[in-house]
Amino acid sequence: MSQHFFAEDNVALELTFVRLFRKLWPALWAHQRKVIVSLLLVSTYVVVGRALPFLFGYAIDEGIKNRNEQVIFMVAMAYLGLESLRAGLLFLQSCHIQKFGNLVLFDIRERLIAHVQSLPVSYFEKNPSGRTVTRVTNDVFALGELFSQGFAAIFVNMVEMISIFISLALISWMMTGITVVILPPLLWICFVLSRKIRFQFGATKRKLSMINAFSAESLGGIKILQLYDRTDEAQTFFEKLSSEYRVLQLSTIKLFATLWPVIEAFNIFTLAVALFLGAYFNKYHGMSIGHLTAYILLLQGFFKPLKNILERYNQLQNSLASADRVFHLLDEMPEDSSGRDFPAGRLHGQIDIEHMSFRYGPGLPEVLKDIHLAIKPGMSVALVGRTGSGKSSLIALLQKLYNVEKGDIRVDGLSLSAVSPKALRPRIGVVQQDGFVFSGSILANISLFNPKVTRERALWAAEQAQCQDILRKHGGLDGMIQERGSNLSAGERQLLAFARVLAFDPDILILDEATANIDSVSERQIQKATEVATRGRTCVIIAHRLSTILHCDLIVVMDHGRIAEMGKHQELLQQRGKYSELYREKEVPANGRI
Amino acid sequence: MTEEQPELLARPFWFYVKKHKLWVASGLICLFLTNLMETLIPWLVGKTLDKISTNVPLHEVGGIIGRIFIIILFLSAFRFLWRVLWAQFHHTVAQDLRNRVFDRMAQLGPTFFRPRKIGQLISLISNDVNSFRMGIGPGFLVLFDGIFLMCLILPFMIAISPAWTWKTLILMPFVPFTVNTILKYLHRGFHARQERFADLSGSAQEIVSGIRVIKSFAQEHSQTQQFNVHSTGFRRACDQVAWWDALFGPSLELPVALGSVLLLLLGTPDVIAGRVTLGQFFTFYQYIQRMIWPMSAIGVGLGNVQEGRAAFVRIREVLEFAPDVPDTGKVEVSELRSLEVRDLSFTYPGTQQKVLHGISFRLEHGQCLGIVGMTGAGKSTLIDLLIRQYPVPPGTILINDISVEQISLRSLRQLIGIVPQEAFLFSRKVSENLALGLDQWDLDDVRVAAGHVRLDQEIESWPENYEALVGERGVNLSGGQKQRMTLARALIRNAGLVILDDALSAVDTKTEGRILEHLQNQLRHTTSIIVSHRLASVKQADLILVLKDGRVESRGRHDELVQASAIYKALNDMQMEAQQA
Repeated sequence: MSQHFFAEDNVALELTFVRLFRKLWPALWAHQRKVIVSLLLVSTYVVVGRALPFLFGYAIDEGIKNRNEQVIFMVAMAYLGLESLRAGLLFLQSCHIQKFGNLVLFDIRERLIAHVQSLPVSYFEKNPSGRTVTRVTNDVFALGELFSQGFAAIFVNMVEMISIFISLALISWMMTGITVVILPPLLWICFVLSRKIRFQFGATKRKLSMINAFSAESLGGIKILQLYDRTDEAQTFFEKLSSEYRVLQLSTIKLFATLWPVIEAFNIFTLAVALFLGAYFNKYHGMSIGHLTAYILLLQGFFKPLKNILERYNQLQNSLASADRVFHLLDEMPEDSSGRDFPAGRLHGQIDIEHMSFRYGPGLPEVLKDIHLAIKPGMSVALVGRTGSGKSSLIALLQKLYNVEKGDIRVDGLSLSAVSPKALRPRIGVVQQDGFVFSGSILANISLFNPKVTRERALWAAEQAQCQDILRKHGGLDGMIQERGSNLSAGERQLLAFARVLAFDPDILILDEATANIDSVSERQIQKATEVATRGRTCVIIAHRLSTILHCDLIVVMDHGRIAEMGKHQELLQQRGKYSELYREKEVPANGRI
Repeated sequence: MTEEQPELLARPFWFYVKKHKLWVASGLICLFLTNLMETLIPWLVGKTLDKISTNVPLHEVGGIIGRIFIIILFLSAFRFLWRVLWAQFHHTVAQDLRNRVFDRMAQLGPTFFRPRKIGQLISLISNDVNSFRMGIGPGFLVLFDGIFLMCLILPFMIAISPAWTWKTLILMPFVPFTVNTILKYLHRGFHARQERFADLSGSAQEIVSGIRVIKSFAQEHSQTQQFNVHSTGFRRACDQVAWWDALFGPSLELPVALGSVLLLLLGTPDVIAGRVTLGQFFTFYQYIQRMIWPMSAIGVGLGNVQEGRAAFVRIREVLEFAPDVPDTGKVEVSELRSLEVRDLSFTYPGTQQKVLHGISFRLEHGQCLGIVGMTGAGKSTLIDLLIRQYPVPPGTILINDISVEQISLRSLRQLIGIVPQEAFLFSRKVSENLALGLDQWDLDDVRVAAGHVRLDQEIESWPENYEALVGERGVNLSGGQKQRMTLARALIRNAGLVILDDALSAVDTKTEGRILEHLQNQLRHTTSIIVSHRLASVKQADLILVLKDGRVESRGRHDELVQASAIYKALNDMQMEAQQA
């Protein structure tokens, strides 16, 4: 069995912690006040924390040694105060930073979803929707962990280490100097082991996603595997993956099992050294016992932040890949949104296509060749032709989903290249072939959450579009439509698409008729809705219904990207050309039953 | 494996501990020794301090420090060992459980899979198994770690001063309780966050799927606003989690802090009076700080174990699930001489309504059966019963006049080549997909099969032809191509019975005609069942059943049915009209 079943994006990682931080910084600095508050909270927290060992040392020297109960009471109260303060600060600091992170992530998600919607259609053709959704949701979440568990935690721990180091030096810079000597070898060991751990982590995670992908596919196709007697094979393969996964995890644990004792050993080793040096300094340099205890307490706290940093750093290396993908998506080029608007008021609906040719990319064959067509205001034009003859491309170009290369398309005399997509698209209503519906209320499906489409307007549009049955069946405008419209028939989905178009009242209508089998009741309703929607508008229709074709003012027959014939139904049939050929082959399906 | 099953299901933790008792026992011993060494260190530090404050010669201090060095060595070794031993234990357990879950799922039928989403099942295999591992591994470990430490530290503390011990530790018993409470809320928060996350994903999914609609109506802004509603909901849920998470640290540290304050207030008179040495005072202070971990460890460990247990409830549900059709048949069949259905009625398990009523027919070797009818007439149910997705009463389905439950599932499956409605392909090579049902094959087999469905030329026009991967990372197939692949996949097996369950719906009429023509030659000596909504597909069948509401409305050959069956006639007229117009 081949191992290619998992589709994980294995993009080479270009991001490091530092570079990620630089990318993230503008998003953080957008909330300046929060950044400053975070810094203040962290630094006070750290300072308060360092004061405690000193206080304890002071209690020993001044209280116990000098037998001064007054001092001890004062120290105990101060200790209580400082600890309470520290606990409070710990809470505030941690809560504040996490909430701050959540806010930044919200901003990033908003930016991403807006950006995604600005991407050209070609992006969505190349990338499966699941991948894009993962970027906006899971990957941003991973970025969040990177922020709160990573940056913030590493920052706090660094500050802790530095503050401890300074405190140690304040007590005795000589002792600290001697202790510091052993740090480089420790750091070197940490570095080497960490690198291995990171590598192992990556491998483990990949193995897990292989297990998940393999399970998903096998269980999705379990019926086939069972009927084709392939479950044993699948089980064997799963067990192989499962065992490899365990082996990888164990080797990661072995590395950690080496790293932690090493750090711990260094910790105790420095403690022992400090004790010995302390004894020496106490004897010959008059270092007090109180100072020595403070020193020991501080020293014991030095390695915990180091451990934290290493742990975080290693584990979060993987989240970097997620962050990397988020920024990659943000770097995708949006479609050109420049251009002017149409003059105010309704369009007349004159469409002139002038010797236009089009290809989907350099080096690809031309899908439209020298299209020349004038559509007068209010005219209905039917496009017919085989699959792949260029009908859909033509329609995409009318919406400026792609840019025209050769020739021109003008709407009301204005070249589409000069008009911004934002200005053009609301003027052109589209009823898509598949009748895409969103999961959510019928109202939301008609209004697309645009507040300008009121309930009244949506209701009017639904009625105009013959959606009465749908409304009745699903409980009015607030009736819920399931994912992908699974509780609607193909015909009902198309009716809803009509309602949407009518609600937005465009000047030009594009209609891509459904080819799916539609029952006769819906068929009649769709016909009615088509009549209502086409009334008084320029219409371009990819027609599959004879009744629609017969109603059109002009039939344009497309063949291999060219206009083969134009005219009315009877004329074209009499020509005995492409149209009558299509008609005979039933590519112009004629189930125009009324 | 199955013999062990009852004990595993009844007492999963105990089952695995017993199975790996050597790892568990040696791991615990190493853990205990590690804890002992750790407890000794503050004791020795205190002693050193006493030596220093009494101004003994340096070499005496050196003696104690030497002991500390020896402890470092043992401590490191034991620490390494328990980690490795314990990890061996719980990762082996996880592997075993993971395999059991997958193996069980691979045996289960539609009753199990229908109501469940694949995502849930994956989560079971990876998340729930992991939760169980965390319970039996780190969970128990942390519990023991806490208990050991407590049992070791307490005697040392009491040895220094029993009075100090109870006075300073008075708040400690609240810690496990607090930890557990916070964990509970934290998990509730996680759960709520997960729900909001699903909303968020759903919202993003809608936007991306409906991007063409959004763009053509220029409604990007409204959609972003709508997305923000969900995004805010998710942010709020995250903030809630942050709040509880931030509470964790302080609530652990405050009892320790209070203990230390009490020690300062109540302990110092004893030190001043000389009842306790300064070094012991310092040791005691350190022990108070170390008591925090055992206390929270009990909270954390119990939490892990609870979660592991909850996860196992979900796992058990799978492990206990019985396959829809028990594989009890012993008879092996190698060829299909006849297929008979006798008065077959069927009600889906767990429902009331009969979906099939008294279906009967008989097919002899080499005959072709056509099944037509509207959606919901029972066509797919009938096929599902024929391929043994659900159990049927004995004597209702017979192959070679043997009731199917007496035939082993494996031999039955080898007898049948099915082309299901939904063209499911695996992300493997084209050749591997085509040869799925063969144990051994070469490229020629695959090529011939592709030829049967007119796919050979298309495949050979791809740069990697039969080596191309199917799916996202390789070739993207159209609906029609997929269906033809699944058809070829069934034909390649040379099965005794070929079933096409509306298998060419996405293929255009012209290609379908050509394929059917070819199939009729191919399948001349094969028994076949063709379910279709296009009458052209079943026109040539030896027998056609017209189903309506789970009953055979009428039966016969094409010419007879055009006369006899109202439904058939209506369908025929409609499709003829479409052709003639």
